[in-house]
Amino acid sequence: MDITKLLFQLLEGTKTSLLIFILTAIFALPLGLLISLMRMSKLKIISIPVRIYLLIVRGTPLLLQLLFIYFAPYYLLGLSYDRFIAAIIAFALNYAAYFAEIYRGGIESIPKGQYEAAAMLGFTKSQTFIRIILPQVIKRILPAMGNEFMTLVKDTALAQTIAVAELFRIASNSASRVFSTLPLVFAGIIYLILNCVVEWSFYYAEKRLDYYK
Amino acid sequence: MNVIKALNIKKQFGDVEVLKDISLEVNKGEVLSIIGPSGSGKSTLLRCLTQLERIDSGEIYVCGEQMVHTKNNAAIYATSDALVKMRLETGLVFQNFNLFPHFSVLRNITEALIHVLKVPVKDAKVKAIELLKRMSLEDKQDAYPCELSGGQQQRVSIARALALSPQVLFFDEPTSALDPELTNEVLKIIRELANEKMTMVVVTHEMNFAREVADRIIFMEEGIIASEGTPEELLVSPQNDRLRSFLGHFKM
Repeated sequence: MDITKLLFQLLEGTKTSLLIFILTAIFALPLGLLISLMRMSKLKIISIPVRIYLLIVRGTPLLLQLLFIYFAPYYLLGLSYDRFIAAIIAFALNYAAYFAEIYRGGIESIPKGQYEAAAMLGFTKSQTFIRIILPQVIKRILPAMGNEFMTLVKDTALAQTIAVAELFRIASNSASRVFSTLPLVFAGIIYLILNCVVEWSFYYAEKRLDYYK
Repeated sequence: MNVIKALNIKKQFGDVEVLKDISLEVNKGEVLSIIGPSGSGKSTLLRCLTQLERIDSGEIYVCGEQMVHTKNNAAIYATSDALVKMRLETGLVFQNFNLFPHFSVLRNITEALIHVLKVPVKDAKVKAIELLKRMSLEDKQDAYPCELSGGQQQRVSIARALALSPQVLFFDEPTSALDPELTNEVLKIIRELANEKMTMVVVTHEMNFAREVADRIIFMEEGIIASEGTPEELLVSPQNDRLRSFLGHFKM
């Protein structure tokens, strides 16, 4: 078994996994915020459909959602499209749902007095949210977000169900090719290394925001 | 000249009538103190005058501008632009300070100056430091609210409200969250503002302070103004029975 070649292949897979991770974060973070604001809307016509969306996304396996998003357009309309794009859509929609509920928990934990003080000083609603509320929300949700990000690193492995060549798929393919578990052990180590970076980043971010209570 | 004028205001929360037909005026340069038992509607009155609550009926004027009037039994508020303008004429100091915890003391004061009144950053800082000096807090400008005592936090929140140069400053039990020693440092500031003829409305349980600083006192009970007059009339020789029994709970 050529270890260098194996490692090179695994690194290629890691690049794909990392790309899924980064793109999911980029799309799901703002989308989650938007969904949480809609979820908190006083208008039932907005909040109820959002609740149904959250229920479906959080109540069914991500694996199934991946299959659905990739294959449904084909079966319904005869359209086929890039499997990587399908993976990003499925991950972004799924993680946005979890992020939305984390944002909501954070936003609802900010005391009413903060809004009232801002209103008395003449801040508009959007200024209040962006300058006063959101920075405090971010500090409060960091531990829960850290959880989600670590899960996301591992969940990228699910993209293999629609044949995206990410780390786990490449590792298990070469494992069966060379009749060895070594590629899987390496994959495990790579996931752990990625999550070390995630853990450290959140630790650092929490430290940075530690200057106030 | 009156800075605040309220006529026949009524406010209900569900079935509970919190304010039943309240009328009052606050004149320029005057210190008005509102006293009364818990649940008498003092805080709600303040919150209605500062737009934090909307009244059900009545009229309110701020610096001669109409904030709200009543037509066919429904309160009609001014346009949102006019309401923002009126809001900036009224400052409010909260019982539990409500400072912005993620901003330094200086930024708590400058943020609204810069982003609401569009004052240049440099001028906003000069103004904030000047206010902090008046509060004897000039050495705390870089501290965060969590590093300050309750009395210091309340003084910062007074500075924050004063920064926008309101025509009238409302205080909602400004010392109720403080121990006696810290209470005095906050009362000292309010006393100094009174000497400078700042128009103020102070909801308080500090009867000695009300007697000493207020030009006029309102005693509220069950949503109405039960008694009104000079500190002498209300606190020294109260005519109203309920007021007498209320005052009996305080050592003066």
